[in-house]
Amino acid sequence: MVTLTGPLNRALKLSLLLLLAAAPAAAQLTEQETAFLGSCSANISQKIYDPSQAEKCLAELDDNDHALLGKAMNQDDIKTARLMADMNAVKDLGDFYRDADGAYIIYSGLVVRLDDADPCVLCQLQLGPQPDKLYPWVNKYAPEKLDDTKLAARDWGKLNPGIQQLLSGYGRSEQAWTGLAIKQREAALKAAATRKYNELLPPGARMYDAAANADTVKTIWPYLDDTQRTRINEIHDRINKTFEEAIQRAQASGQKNGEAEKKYAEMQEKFKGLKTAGGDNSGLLGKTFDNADAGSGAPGEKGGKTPGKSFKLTDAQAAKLAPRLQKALVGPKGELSDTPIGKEAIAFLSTKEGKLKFSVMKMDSDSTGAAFYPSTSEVKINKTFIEAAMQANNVSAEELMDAKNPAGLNKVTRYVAPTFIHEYDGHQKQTAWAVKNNIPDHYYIGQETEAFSKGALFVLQKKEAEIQKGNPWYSLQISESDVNMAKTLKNEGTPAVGRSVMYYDVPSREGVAAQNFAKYEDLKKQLTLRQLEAAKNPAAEAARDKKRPKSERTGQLEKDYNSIYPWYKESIKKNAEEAKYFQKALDEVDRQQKSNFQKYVMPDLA
Amino acid sequence: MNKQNLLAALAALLLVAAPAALPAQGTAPAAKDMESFTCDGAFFTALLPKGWQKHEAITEGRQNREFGVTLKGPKNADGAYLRISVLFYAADHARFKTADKYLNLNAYPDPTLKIKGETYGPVKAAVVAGRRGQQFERKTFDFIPPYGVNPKKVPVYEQRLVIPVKKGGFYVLSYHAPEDISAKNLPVFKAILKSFKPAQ
Repeated sequence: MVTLTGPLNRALKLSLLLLLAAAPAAAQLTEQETAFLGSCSANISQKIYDPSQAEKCLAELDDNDHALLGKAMNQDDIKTARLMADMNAVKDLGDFYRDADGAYIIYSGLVVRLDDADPCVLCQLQLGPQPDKLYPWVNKYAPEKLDDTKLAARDWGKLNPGIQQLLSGYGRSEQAWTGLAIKQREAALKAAATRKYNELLPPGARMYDAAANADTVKTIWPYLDDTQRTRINEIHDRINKTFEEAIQRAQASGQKNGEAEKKYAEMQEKFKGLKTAGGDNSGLLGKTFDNADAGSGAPGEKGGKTPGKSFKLTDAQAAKLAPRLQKALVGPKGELSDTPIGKEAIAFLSTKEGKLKFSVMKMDSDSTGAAFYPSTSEVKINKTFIEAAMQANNVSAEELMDAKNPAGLNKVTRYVAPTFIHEYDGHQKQTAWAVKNNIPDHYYIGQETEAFSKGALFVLQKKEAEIQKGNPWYSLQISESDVNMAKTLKNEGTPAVGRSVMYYDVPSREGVAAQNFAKYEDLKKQLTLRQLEAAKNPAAEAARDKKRPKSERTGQLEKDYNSIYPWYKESIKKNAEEAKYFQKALDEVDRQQKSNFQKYVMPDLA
Repeated sequence: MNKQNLLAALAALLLVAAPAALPAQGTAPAAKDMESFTCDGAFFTALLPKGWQKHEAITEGRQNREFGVTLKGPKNADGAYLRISVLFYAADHARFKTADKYLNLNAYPDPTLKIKGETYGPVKAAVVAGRRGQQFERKTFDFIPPYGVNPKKVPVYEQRLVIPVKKGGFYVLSYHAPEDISAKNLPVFKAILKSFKPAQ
């Protein structure tokens, strides 16, 4: 049992004890357990950082309702919290590198883990924030991904010679570059590009020697912002127009302006593809995964089943659609009303945490179908997703917005419903779970597995409900990827759904746990110190506390401290409860499917 | 819709063709390129290719009573990955108490969850490590990304072997590969099958 020295005020004493009370009953570690924990510590202290070993250690510590973890915490809470932080971080890194592929995905994951993590546990292990520190680990555990890691990290050796030269010219050396974190490198690249841009095009300049500076412009182009690129493009347009007019004038008088034609052709050749090339981070790193247009046709004006039909919604139409779509989803006779999970979602509507703020709007990324925003408790459906649903169902904007004939709306509602379940019954309920358990609402990848599984479960339940209504075509009325996810859930369970969720910029449960446990020692020290100050002069400490930012006040620190272990336990417990929930629901789907098959189809199809 | 019409509709959905059996074209991996693996709980051992990403979710595995490993191999030009898994489903697995239930759900097409172009082969007898079981093949798809607004549909060849254990539980050994890189990598799966040693 940890003992705090010095006088403690009652509130703080209670707070600190809460954490220990949450741990299983005190018991001494056996010799075997001590040796086992020693081998876990050696993986960290000897800088082996083997993710498999970390995984095995965590599994043992968490087994039997965290029995070993509880014993270890009781014996030495600070040392155990540190070990938990480090092992979770190493396991998280291993999991990430197992699944991540390609420079862009590695970039996304490394920024989350090395630049944005607070605290950065991998940095505490000397594996960051400078990406070069991570290279030996990558070389040992994921050697085939070292090259992409260097590309993702904007390694000096992976920068093109033009930008290297530019950076050197502005005083950046290769050696100094290795001392920078990824975001610092990005900032340095942008700053260098902007400086060169300002040299080429000082404020107010309407022209520059484009042909002579083509290579420079191409070099800095990926690091410029949209305003800067637009300005360059406008200048190029003016130059091109001048040549075009000169050529036309010559042609009108039956002559040929060879010089203008030559220069015009030169401009086209030198800046070929520049106008349309995004060239930002994603372009540079080959952002191929998150590709909205990967399939047979992007939503929009083109394509569709009826030539000439428009599948585009205006912003005003999208806003007007939202309340109708909401009613069609969760209304008394709405799309969700005849399924168990849909009924659960509808019941959630009447709770405090289930209040639904629903909108249809254009979101930042066209490839995002929908999203839940915990800070404002909003479910937003992306306009592009509605347009994809319109195209898939051959529903025009006029048909969708027709208040007198709901046929178009019904088709789109059906297509959107599994995604709505994902966001609302999945994510919004996760926030409610955190509130109910008085723990922080940390976002982690396991929450996506649950949300996708819920969307898939809805599909399975809905298709049985539809068969009972005489509609065997349900699976053809939604997206094939939703059907595929439903099959995955039904045939292989939630673990298989988890294996197919690839959100690389979202931390894993282990990643969040690592950051939380890493704060343990500091929080405890800080709270103890403040307690001592409060014991000496309560009024002075209270006054100091009032002046602190909200996130640093004693009450908030106590809350953070006391939620570390409960959050860890509850998130694992939630996982187990989810598994049971889905198993039970899937068994019911099996039973219903069998019953429906007996009623509606030949027995040998079952 | 009355029962007869519904039957006709479902029968139309069930017009499927068996996927062609896949001949292995690549070469078997050398012994030095394989490494020994024992799963959590020691339900089996096998030789697995070195350098392939291996995922063994121990905590979740214990919770779900599903033990083993999933390997991630090369990907094709569309970004779809080759996956091999060797799993033991314990007798107290919440969903799959028997190999038959697993087979019924996975080895036959479900007309109510139709993916256009998906085809199933017949269920055949199989022997792995001297144990009798069953195997099936299917042609299916990966959706890249699986939850995108308009994902790419990538054809995939799958082969699964289901080996029941007398005292309960069963093993599933699966090969899931984008069609264009499937034949080349099939010998890796064959090598794993050859080295597989069930402990139950």
